[in-house]
Amino acid sequence: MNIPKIHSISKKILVALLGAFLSIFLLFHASANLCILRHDGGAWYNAFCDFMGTNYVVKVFEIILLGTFLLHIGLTIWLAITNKLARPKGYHKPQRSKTHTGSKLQVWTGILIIVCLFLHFMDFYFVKLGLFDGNLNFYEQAREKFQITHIAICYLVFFVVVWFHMRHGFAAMFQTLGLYNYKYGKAIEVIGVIYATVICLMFAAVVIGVYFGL
Amino acid sequence: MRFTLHIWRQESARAKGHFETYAIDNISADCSFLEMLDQLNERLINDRIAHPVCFDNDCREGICGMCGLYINGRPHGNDDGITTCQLHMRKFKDGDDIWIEPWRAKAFPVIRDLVVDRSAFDKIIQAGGYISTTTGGVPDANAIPIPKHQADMAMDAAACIGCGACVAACKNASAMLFVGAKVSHLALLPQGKIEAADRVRKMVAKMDELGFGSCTNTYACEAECPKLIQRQDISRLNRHWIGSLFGRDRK
Repeated sequence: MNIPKIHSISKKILVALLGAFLSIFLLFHASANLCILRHDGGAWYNAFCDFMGTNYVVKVFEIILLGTFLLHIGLTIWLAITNKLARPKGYHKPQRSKTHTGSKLQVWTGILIIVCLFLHFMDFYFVKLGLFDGNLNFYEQAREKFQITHIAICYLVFFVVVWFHMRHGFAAMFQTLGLYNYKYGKAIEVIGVIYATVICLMFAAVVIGVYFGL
Repeated sequence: MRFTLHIWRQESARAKGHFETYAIDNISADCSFLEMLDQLNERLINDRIAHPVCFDNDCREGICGMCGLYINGRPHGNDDGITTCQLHMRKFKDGDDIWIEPWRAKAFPVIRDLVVDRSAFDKIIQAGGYISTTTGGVPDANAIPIPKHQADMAMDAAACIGCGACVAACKNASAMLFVGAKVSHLALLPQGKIEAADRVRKMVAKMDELGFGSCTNTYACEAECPKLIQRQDISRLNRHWIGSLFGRDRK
């Protein structure tokens, strides 16, 4: 059987497109989370969770999202292995070239995100699936969890890691999709920083707000 | 000036290499890095200490792309926009330790000491880095009008000398800047545009086949390129690649 070969650039493009999809989802997720800060006993947030849990279109989207996430990770691991094989013997002296540190951190921030996401899923998503015990009222669950100091700190660290990952990922996506040039390069980088900052601040606002009893 | 050199010595492609340390003195600050290595070799030969250190070089004026050494953690040494032959000893401090290594990449196997086989680049060019037109007489320069900025971009990309510093600098040993430059300088001109999609497909396929890594956007290649080839050539390569997937001339 002839298995079609996926070239390195195609893999990169797929990773970039999947990353773009995940970035858009994060904006959606962060916007919904802000409902937790409303003093309505969780009416808005639980209505949103109820919609997410019962709507069939959302259920399909959930599978697509999970697939996107796994494919993003899988392709990245595949690329990382290929990249490692491209230099079987490394240099004795550590590299001193001027490079974008974000790129070097990308694999590590990615791994940290996977670990943090697993812990996040244990609190929420896996509870919904019935894999873990917990409060199915996510508004109460969130308010309860975010008032615990170490959990709040862990989530804030998680958002910093996500910020680093997105900040580099945004500009890298434009480069990989062939949309980068020197005329708009700086603007793309600035927009990437703004986008990552806004999303992470939205997430952090909920944790900080709940922690301080807002 | 006086230096302690730690040089990678390797008898042959199959031999196990190691670093050898040599002390060298009476080196002029205005002497080039390769001239310093020449002086070392003279001493190694005259004093019958060891075989001379093998390293690639040719024009020694930064245009041929033959020389290429990884010096103290940087391809072509501690300066920007230069080849190894343009590096001078005044860039170092008296008494410095200098670590000299060959380019490291699966696609660039070491032949001996600091000499690596860079024919992988030739194979990429052979795969499609040309215009397959039948040549006739020299056409008039003004017969095909090309906008100035387009010609400038093509010329900038064409400045690539294929030294391999991009591969050496990249943490993934990726040849994307090289391929990007070669694809760009042809695709930016009307004569090269016709075969652009086919060219990019063939060159990228060959690049992958030869075992180069993929780009993870660290841009070390751009920082170390002696001809200052820019990362937008990689972006253009990606753009052409996407275009080639949907191009009408796809075979």
